[in-house]
Amino acid sequence: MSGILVLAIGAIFVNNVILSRFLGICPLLGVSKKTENALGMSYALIFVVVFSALLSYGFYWLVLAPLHLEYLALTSFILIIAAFVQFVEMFLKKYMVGLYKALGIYLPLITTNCIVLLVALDNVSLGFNFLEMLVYSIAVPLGYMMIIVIFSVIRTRVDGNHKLPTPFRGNAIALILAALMALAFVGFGGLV
Amino acid sequence: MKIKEKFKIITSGIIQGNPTFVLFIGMCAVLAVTNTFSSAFGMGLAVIAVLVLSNVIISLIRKLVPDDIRIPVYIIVIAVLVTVIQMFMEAFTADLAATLGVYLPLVVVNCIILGRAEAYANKNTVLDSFLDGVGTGLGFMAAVSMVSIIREIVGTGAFGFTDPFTNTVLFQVQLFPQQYAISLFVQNAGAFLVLGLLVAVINAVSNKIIKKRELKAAAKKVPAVATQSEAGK
Amino acid sequence: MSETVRIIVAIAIMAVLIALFFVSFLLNKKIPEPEGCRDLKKNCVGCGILSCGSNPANQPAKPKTEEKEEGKNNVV
Repeated sequence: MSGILVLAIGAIFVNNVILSRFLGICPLLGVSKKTENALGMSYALIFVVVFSALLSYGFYWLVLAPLHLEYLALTSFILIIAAFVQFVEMFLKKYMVGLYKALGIYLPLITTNCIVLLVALDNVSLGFNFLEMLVYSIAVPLGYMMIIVIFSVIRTRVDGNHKLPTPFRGNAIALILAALMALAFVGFGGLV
Repeated sequence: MKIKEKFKIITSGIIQGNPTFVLFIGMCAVLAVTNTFSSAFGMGLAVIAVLVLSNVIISLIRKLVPDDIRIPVYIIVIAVLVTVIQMFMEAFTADLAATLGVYLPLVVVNCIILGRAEAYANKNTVLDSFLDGVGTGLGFMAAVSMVSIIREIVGTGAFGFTDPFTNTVLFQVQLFPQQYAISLFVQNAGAFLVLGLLVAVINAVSNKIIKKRELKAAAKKVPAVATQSEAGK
Repeated sequence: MSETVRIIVAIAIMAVLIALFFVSFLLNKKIPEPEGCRDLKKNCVGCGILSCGSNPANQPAKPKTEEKEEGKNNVV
């Protein structure tokens, strides 16, 4: 039990997917300008990551590994994730239109997102069992959500500030803010 | 004249369309592998290879692919290409592949490659797409080189280069003693910091250049206005 | 299993997955977006990620001018 907790805390705080592992930077800079965008993106990401991790994990251990075709992992995972997102979009468009209006715009962005693919690959390369895979797949996007929401809140205050020198506006100050957050998170280093 | 136009394609990938400093895509790699110049250089080579090959392939098939399904087709082509190049790298440049780790398949599959395929390769000839791949790849290489040189020199005080194919250290020079180096720069926060500062510097420089150009254009218009008013008189 | 059988199986698996992806993509394209959803995409001028289906550069209406303006906005 404690192993699972350590795994989760490690994934969210210590090895945070953005601040420690530098993934998902592109959406971070693009989506974090408004907090409701950040939240929407995070919910969509959590959903897609968890279920596509399940699917790719199942595919790897039930199909690829018994046939010793592990080298197909990267390409198959990309295809599975992409197909899954298409199905999710279809389902939302037909049966949950309100949800589609809220979150549907982020789904195409998530298809080619580093984080979804990363979690799928990690589950396999780190040799997780089913429970560990589940916990990891929930924890990583939660860590992402935490960072991107905090980031968007800070950014909405910084972006409107006219005292900021012109060369720094936009993405430069965003990167420096990320540097400060990364520095703060180094403090979690000895936790696990 | 034609050669000038072709050359323009390359330079626009390095300057006006620089993937890191202008378009802000593919940042994951720039931050993750730039703590030493050798690994940044290796990643730059890999990105150039994948970008050029994918641009050429997609430009070749652009007339065969129905417009509706072009994005899935590109995704598949690029995924296969990246798997092959990853295998090549693990075979011929094993240490580099180990250092780049998971960032090679992850990052290379995403933003930059698909972005260039969608924006350029599916609308232009093979030669133009090849040049665009070279240009954008060189732009990426310039960006990671700048970031990694700053990070390595300020962060460790040393500067060296290791040949990725033979894994021999080509040179290693300690520019100043290590105790004076700011080790923050080779850590995570340093990566964000160096990139943010570089972006700010480049913004400042390009704003100045744009202002100069506008002043020149305004100066050219003034004599025309003067001659018009004289002619009116 | 012999080598050729494994290669054939690998190709078959890839073919199945690719077919799955294509089918889902085409089915998804056929289903029209509910009203009010077209406008959401027009408001998205977030980033330079051109592989995203929501990027204005990928919408049929105004493809090229949006892209150049985005590039300039990021510098200035």
